[in-house]
Amino acid sequence: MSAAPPIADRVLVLRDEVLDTVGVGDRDPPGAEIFDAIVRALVVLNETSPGLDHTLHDAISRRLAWGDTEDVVLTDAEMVYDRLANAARRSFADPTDEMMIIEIAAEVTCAAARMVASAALGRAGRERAARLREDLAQRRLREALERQAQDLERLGGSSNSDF
Amino acid sequence: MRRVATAHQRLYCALSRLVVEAGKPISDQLAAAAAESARLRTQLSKAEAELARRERMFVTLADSAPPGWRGQ
Repeated sequence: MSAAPPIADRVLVLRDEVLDTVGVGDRDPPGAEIFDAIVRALVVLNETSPGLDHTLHDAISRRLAWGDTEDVVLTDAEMVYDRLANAARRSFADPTDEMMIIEIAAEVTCAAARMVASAALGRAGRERAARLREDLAQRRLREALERQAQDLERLGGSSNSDF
Repeated sequence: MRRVATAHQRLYCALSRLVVEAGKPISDQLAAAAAESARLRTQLSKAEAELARRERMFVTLADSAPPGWRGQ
């Protein structure tokens, strides 16, 4: 009698269904990085907790850098969780396996949400600094405009210009 | 278990969305500041062009004056 394949391999079979690869074609389906992180977490299930999943962190950072909004990334994470939970309920006869998958999926999507929130906080800090720089630049531009207005007045205000 | 996990996951996503929403005003302020800076830069370049036009006009007037003319 052969042993059952590891739970990660059994979840990997559900990839096309969870990510709806039929619907989105052969391009990288949205939420693939979340699903892959769930599979990786299931692979190292009985080992010491590896802590932060750097691959997931990089993938989310890459998506945000390429222009996806934080809301889209969170929506994809929720979608993957919902679809995986439904698929696990249907596909796994043993409730222990199903619970394990749901628990890991919740952990991974929560980690993804934390990463998104952390990225949003970092972006807010950078944008705040950029706004302060813009304020300084505007002050210098206004001073330069005042000097130009004085020069224009000195050169004669009889011109039909806007200045 | 399923419900607790789902609630936990939804709570985290909602908290993340709150954080993201809290950062939106800063993005809007930055966009407004960048637009204002661009407007000022355009105004500055137009004023610079006008200044150059008037300087050229004065130089032309001075060059076309008769020899020995020192103005009024």
